[in-house]
Amino acid sequence: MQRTLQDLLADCSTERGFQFSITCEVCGGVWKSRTVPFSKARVSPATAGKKVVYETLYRREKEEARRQAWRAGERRFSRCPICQRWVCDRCFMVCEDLDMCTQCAEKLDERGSIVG
Amino acid sequence: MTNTLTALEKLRHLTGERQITLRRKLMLYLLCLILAALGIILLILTAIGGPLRGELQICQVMKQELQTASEKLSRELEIYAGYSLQLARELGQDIESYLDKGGISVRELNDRPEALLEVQRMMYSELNTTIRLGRSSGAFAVVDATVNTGLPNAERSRSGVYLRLINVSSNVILSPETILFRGNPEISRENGLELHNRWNMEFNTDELPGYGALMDGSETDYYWTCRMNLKNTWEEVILLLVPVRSSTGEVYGVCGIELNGLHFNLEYPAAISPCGSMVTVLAPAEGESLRLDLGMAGNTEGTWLKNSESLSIVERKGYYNAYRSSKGAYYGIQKPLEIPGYEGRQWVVAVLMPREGCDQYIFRNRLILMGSAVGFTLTMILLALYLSKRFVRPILQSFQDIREERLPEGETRQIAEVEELRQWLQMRARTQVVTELPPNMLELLDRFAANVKTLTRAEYNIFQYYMNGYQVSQIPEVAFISMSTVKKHNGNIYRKLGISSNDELMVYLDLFRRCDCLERLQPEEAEEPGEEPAGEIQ
Repeated sequence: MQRTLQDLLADCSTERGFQFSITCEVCGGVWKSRTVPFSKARVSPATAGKKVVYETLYRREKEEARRQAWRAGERRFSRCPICQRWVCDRCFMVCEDLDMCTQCAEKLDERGSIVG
Repeated sequence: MTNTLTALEKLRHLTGERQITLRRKLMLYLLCLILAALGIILLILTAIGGPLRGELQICQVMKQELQTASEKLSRELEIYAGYSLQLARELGQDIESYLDKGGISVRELNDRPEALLEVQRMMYSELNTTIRLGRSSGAFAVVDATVNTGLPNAERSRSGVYLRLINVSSNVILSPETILFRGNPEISRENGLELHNRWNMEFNTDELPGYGALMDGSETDYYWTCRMNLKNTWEEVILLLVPVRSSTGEVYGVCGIELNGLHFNLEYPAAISPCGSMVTVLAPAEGESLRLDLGMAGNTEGTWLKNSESLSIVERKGYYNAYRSSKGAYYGIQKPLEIPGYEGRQWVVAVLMPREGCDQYIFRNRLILMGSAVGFTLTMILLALYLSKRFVRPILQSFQDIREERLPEGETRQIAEVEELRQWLQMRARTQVVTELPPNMLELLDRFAANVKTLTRAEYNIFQYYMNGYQVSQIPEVAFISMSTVKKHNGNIYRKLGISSNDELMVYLDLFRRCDCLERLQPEEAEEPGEEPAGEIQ
């Protein structure tokens, strides 16, 4: 089963904001999404009820931040059609017949130019 | 406050940006026209004298005045009648008692000065009380006897007492001073009264209309006479005559109360209204005539009305009557008064206003109304002109913009229909079959199609997305490649196809699509391999 970019999204969120990272599966380089602050980061819940409300709010905002990070990551990572790995632009090559990661290109003796 | 203003400004801005349909604009325009038409109708109605506010107002003022005057007059005359009847009853009892004591009849009082003086003393007492209680300007009593039957015209001379107020306007004083107008001077001496400068010892029965009828019994009830002059004076009065009867019904004489002209004049002042003075009139009616010469008029200040004329109703208008006399014309309304009149006359109370003042008021009112209607109509017409201009201008402007292609595609027109037209024209322009392409355009397309063949397989893969209608931003998602990869391919594609932007690429693709020759952009097919004998593959 092919892994989606969502599977690679690592959660780096804190109580104050939401951030996600994607690691290039070739070079190990990490890309981090823009931090989205939690709307109630500076407010402490006055009651137990409020706490429940804020927690629900936190989950909802985090999910939205995850979607945004995923969309942003899609524009930065490419999936190698040979090895199915998600790689950064520095590890992806534009070849004549098929674009692929640098490792696959080397292995298959394909020539091309690196995107990043 | 500032926030509210800002919010309102935003709302106004948003409202201004909203598209307005031609229908709504036209509705507003038509509404103005309808209002203008209403104004014109009102103007015509006013000009031809339709629902005249002025006449109605005059009528209302008159009705109010008539109601007040008639209630006041009825009350006053009822009081006079009540006291007169009381006076007649008391006098009847006194005289009957006196005659019974002397064992004489009323005829036997003739030529007996002492007896008549005694009767007059009784009369004075009762009359004095009546004047003070009834608040009338004068009261009188007559017994059917004379002091000297031997004198000429003795049959018309009758003994009696006539007490009058010295000052008619002072009848509100608790103890008004009285004066002896008719009667034995002994009465004045005994009671400290002055004699009137037109004093007479006895009454002349000619001064008492209907006296004979009352005495011979043909007139049985009390009645009000018409207006008359008190003999040898300038004063005018209406008298209430009541027969003085014994318990057996024998008539001893008459008594009554006067309604003085000056008193009436003071009690019923002219009411000032916007259309002139209103005069209250009490007069007998004869058919279509108002016999003012036989009645009384209140204060006539501000009018030319004389109480020596007779008014005739010349026209019964919708709201009031038009009266005319030899000296002037009046508008007024009248109401019958339930009082017994001499010889069965019907008395009415009326309120009159000079016709000239009323007509001027009506004319003024009509002028204001017409002026308002003209102003309103003009305003509406100007508004209609302005609106029509505003209605047409944006349409023409929009047409001009469309012709000159001034408006960028993203913007919209304020008029919904024009915007629809613009969009339709744009759509038609897009879908128009390119059948009349210039010759060099065909050459360009050929060259483009040839260049497509030079794309690598990977580049053609991206190019295919564009052919399928995808945008640049959508390709990373569907091709699982980064935007940088897409851009790198784009750079190569543009260079090989000899174009400089994505827009240009889209134009070419659009042209191919319209020409229905997208298949020309298919990649070069690989040559099919020839058949090889089986078993030769290594």
